[in-house]
Amino acid sequence: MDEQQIIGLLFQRSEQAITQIQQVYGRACLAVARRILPDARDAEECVSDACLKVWDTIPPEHPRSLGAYLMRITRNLALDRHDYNSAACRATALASAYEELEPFLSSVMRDDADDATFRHTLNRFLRSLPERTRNCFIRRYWYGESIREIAESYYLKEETVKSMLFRTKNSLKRALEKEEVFV
Amino acid sequence: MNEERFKKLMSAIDDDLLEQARQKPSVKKGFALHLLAMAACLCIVIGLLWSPVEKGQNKIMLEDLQVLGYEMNLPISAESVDYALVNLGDAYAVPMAQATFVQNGAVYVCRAQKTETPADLTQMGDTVVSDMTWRSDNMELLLSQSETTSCVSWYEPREGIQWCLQTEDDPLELINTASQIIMQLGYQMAVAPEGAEKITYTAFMVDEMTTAETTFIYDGIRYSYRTAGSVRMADLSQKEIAGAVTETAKLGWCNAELVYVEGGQGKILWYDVAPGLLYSLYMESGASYEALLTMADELYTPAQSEVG
Repeated sequence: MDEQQIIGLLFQRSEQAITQIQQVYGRACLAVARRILPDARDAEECVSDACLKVWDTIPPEHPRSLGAYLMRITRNLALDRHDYNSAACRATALASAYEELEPFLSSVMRDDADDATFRHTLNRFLRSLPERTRNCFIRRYWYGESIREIAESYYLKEETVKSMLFRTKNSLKRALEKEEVFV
Repeated sequence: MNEERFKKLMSAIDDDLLEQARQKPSVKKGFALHLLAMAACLCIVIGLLWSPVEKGQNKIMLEDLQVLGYEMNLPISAESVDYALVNLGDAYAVPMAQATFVQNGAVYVCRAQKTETPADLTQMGDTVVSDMTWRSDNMELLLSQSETTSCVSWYEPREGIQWCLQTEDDPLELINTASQIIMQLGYQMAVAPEGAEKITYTAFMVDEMTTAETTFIYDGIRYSYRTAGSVRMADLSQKEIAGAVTETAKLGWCNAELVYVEGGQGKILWYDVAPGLLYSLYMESGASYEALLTMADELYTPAQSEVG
């Protein structure tokens, strides 16, 4: 069943939609949640909550990409449960990704940001990247995948992935400085 | 940057980019054979084994090679292409595919043989006077030279195909031509970072060492990356840098020497003693300890690591 058909079931308020969502996206959502939450049960609860939230919000929402919509909800729910200041949580993949980004962006990021401008600048920058570079960047810092996982997916050396991310972070910093965008 | 800023940064990414990144990377071109072609392949092979094919008797077309699972993706500028199928005997279940073509005035012969393990298709035997292995990410290239012939060979493990590209003309363009074929197979030569421009591959002699060189421009800076077989450490770069500082570092398990002017020219040299391979990476400007080491780290594939 494709995305539009599942959205159709949601609009019809058919409970089969939830079954389909769990079948099609359950594993991917769990992987996203597990990268943020060290506890497996927390991650599973997160995924269940995400499915419930999709049920509650569609309709009236009609996302163009159900997969991305669901991942975003799952991630936000997982982040809400996550405590970055807890030493125990520092071991998660996403926490280490966060620590990687901080030295590059802390000097250009402030609290008084124009959201729309920042969003526009960030996405324009990402779209200017080669597809593989962009995907590696998003997999690392949004999905929290490890360097090894990314390298294996793309048949690259881990050093290549590290260098790619290093250069992308530098380029992102320059792009934000150039546009004078502050978060 | 604090937690809230991180969340804000990450939540700003457009959905279609998230979806695209979530998808599995597409399988490398040529990796998946159509089942129908496989079935047709069996029928054709049986016919071919009973009727040896010779050029001129039975004109071979590209489609004949494709049915056997050979995607002969020659360089775009290849001209006067002639195809052939050559039976190499009982050792192989499928005939070898061969394409002879002309590019930039030079004649090349490209051979491909389905085989479970790497094989020698050069037909150069004892006439080889020099050779070296050049590693490029997940591809290992063997450069061989005799008095009259230069050859680049590589094995494509995912398809189980041994490749060989030969010329009796100027060998300088040989690696460049091979790289065009390799990239059309869906592999990256990967001796240049993603986003690099004006990438060229050449081979020549430096102090009597057969040397492979990649040059490219990245972030507006020109780089030259060289490798050669050697019994000892030496400076392969042929670049003298006045007023430079010299530092040492570790690159994998190799000791590396960095010679650079901060923000100016720079080079990093290292020698992998186990396979006896010498390396140099030179950057025309923007050099620093970190910049040299980061780029070298990305380009260098230790000879001891697995291929494919």
